[in-house]
Amino acid sequence: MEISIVNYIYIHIPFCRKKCLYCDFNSISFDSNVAEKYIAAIIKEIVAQKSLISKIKTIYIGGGTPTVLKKDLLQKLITSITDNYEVEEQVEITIEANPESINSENIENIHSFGINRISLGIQSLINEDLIMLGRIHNADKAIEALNLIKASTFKNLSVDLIYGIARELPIPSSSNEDMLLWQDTLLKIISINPEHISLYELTPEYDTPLYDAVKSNRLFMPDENLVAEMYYSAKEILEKFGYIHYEISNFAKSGYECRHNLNYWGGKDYIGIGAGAHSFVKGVRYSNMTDVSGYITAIENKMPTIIESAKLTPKEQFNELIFLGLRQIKGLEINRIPQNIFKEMEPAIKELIDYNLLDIKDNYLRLTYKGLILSSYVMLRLIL
Amino acid sequence: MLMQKNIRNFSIIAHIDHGKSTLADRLLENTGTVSSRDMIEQVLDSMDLERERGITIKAHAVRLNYKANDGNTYILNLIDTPGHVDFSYEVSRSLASCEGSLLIVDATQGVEAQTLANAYLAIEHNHEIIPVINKIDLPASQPENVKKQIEEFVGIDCSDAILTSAKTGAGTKDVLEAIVKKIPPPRGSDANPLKALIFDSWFDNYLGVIVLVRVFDGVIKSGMKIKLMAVNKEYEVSRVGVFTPKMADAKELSSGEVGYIIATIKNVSDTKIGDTITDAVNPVESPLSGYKEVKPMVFCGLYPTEPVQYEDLKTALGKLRLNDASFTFEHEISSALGFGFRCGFLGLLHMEIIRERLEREFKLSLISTAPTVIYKVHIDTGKEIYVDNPSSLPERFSKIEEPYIKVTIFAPQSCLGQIFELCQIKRGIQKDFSFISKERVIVTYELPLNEILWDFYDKLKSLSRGYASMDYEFIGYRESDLIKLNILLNSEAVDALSLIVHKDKAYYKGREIVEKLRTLIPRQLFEIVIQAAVGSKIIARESIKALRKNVLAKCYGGDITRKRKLLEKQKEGKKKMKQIGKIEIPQEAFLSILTVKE
Repeated sequence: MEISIVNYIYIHIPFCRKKCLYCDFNSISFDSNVAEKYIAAIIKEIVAQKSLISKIKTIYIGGGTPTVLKKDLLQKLITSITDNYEVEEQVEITIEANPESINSENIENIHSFGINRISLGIQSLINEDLIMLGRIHNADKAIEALNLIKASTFKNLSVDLIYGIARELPIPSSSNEDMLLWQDTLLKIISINPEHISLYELTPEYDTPLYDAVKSNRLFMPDENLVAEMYYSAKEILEKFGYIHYEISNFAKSGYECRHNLNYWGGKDYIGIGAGAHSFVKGVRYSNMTDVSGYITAIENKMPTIIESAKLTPKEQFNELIFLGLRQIKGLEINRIPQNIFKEMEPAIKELIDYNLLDIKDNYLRLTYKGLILSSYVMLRLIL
Repeated sequence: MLMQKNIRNFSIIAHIDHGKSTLADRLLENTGTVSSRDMIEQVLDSMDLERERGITIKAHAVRLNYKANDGNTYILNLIDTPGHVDFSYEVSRSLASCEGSLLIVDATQGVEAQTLANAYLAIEHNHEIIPVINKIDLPASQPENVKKQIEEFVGIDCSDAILTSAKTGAGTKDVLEAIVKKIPPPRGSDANPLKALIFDSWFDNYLGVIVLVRVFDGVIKSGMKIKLMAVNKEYEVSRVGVFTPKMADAKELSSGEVGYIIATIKNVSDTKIGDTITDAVNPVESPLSGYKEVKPMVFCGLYPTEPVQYEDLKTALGKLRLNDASFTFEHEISSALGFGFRCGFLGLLHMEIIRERLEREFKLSLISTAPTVIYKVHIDTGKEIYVDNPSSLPERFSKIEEPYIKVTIFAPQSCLGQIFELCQIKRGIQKDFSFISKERVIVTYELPLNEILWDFYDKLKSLSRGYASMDYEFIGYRESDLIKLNILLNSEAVDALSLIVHKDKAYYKGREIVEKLRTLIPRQLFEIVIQAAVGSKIIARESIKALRKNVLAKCYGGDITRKRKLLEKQKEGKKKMKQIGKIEIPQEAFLSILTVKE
């Protein structure tokens, strides 16, 4: 049997205290009995991947809110990996956390298990915004959590922020207030000096309460010009403070780019463990069933958990190459594009260059400053 | 030797969904023509599209052998008729091939628009009409009321009306007996010179053109030289036969018989429906009456989304025309859409069918412009021209005429008000209205054909919650106050978006179209100004702001597939758009000019 070795692991913990208004991820409300069974199932799935996993470079424990787990469960989870697999010395192990689930006690516990990176869902430091988003923490709690982590043994903190937040009334285009609040949040975060910052534009995803509220005019999304300015203003501020813009939505101090996510964008293999987790191995993308109890039952009964699996066609491979490659600020190495396709793309590339959305530098095809917020348009022009 | 007195030629006429095809199936089954084992539902509707839409598009003929109660065996020729008003001429030729017809009326629905239209056609052809009340198995059936309606509105005696359920098979035997007893046998003579009526024809890849005929006089056999009188062409017959429903060759078709002939005919356009076939050596003096050159009534431009498909489209249109001489196509160049074809159809359904077949069977991606009627334009020099494309309407003309139709609507009395309103908006002139029963009315209007293109029928159906039915006939050209409305994108007139409208509606239509286009055209990298203009006067304006932002906020968590599929789906949409100058326009935009509110 041919053996493929995967070095990147994603583990999905689908539990939250409360689901946020905009969330379309796979998550359910936390129940300690279910969580216990779930972790047992996950550990079984981890162990079953023997033929695929080796020399682990990154582990990403995402959610949901993985930090809702009791410390012994979390510890069991990590040990199931370290006991069974070889882990590189420089391994990056990230856990996603929300401010309300961080306290001085568990922070050191988490670190002691070997987790060395925390991605904290702050989203905003404006209390009204946090209520609007359906978050359960407030600004004070957020600052407290940030300071706790900074004072702890963790040396790699990432912060998630959301901009372009919806309002109960349409925002007059003349209003500068939202921009000032956004800049204020950014500066407060920068003063805490996290190593990594992710910025997400609030997007009403289908089948979320936010989507319904916007559709029915109960909430209003801000004007797109304002949202665009928020993005560029954040970029300017963050770069001024030494953050490197390395992906459309991501900024990091030098050397602190998220290696796990870089692996996704690089089109490399990874294995996802848990309900709804996605994997990419040897050109095949597959995913587990999303239903948590279904997943647990399947694992307990040694039934298959994979519900979708597809080998990428050459066309799909190319499309992924384009859209994952261009998401990175350094761009996409032209050599990776098959020559015959590149020839066909040239008129479109030329036109996009003329529109100042795209440029070529050092044999890399990349989005221009203006192209950043029109990236989907650019990708659409280039994919097959 | 076949005895003429043992032949019965008949049609089945009915409003759509009253059970015509199902009853035909029962007849086939009951006479052993098709064994119940081989029975696929509705044998006669053989085209996929026909089965899907539940309507008959092409005529069919099938021979049934029936041993009647009187001990004799009869040959029953069932000639199926197309079930849509677009094909009323074909219906009339099918009826002309028979001596009688079964008039099927749904026992729960009663008389509908096409019941009446088809029954009148049958009466015109001196048919013996056998009323058949179908669907009596349904609890809501009211056969006695329906009989009364038929007597009152169609004017035929219903005391012997047959009650059937084509679904359960009840009454099938009675129908067969009635065909034998009531419908007269054909009256012709084998000794007379050949006189046969063409009521359908199609092209077969192996056999060439197959012609369906009814022989009135004389005999037709292989080897014989025949003449098609309307086109004045001669051919040699190679095969004759009947459908059982499989093709079965026969020695000859004698007077009174229905069957197919295959001759050395290359083009289906030479076999005109309604034409008379005679003996080339010993011809009749005059053809059978009723022949008409069918002319397309509705036109639209068909363009390939991708210019490289032009040749494929041309080939496909040629192939379809092989089987359907009633549609026409001519090369056309649009400054907006490039190379394409102006196509003419008998009606909207016909247009939809052709379009759907092009996309489905030939895998073409098409842009169609809004359908239009053909206008008669008198230009200043006194010359008269026909305009089937709004963009070719001259700037100056002395008068313009448009085709008018007489529309007959059957509807519940409760929606009478809304029907009047609809017809009035559509520039209709009320001609008549009366009650069929306490609940149902029949309304007659004269309307410009142009006004019923596209949404009239849908609106009628929706305001009556499906209970209204309609039928129409062309009544001639009338002068109207019509002008050309141009649509401009970034100051350039887009020929494919122009339309001819009544002067009183121009302003309103212009506003609505511009508004609609604003919602249909996606934002692009530059601002798009949309204007409606009559002559040089701008009557409406909207703009689409340049695309400022189009970015996927987050891309992590490993679900790459979903994001990729999202992009790929958008890409497919983009591929279907037509580029006019630098502006990308979706297909719906070209039809939007029809669907604006009134």
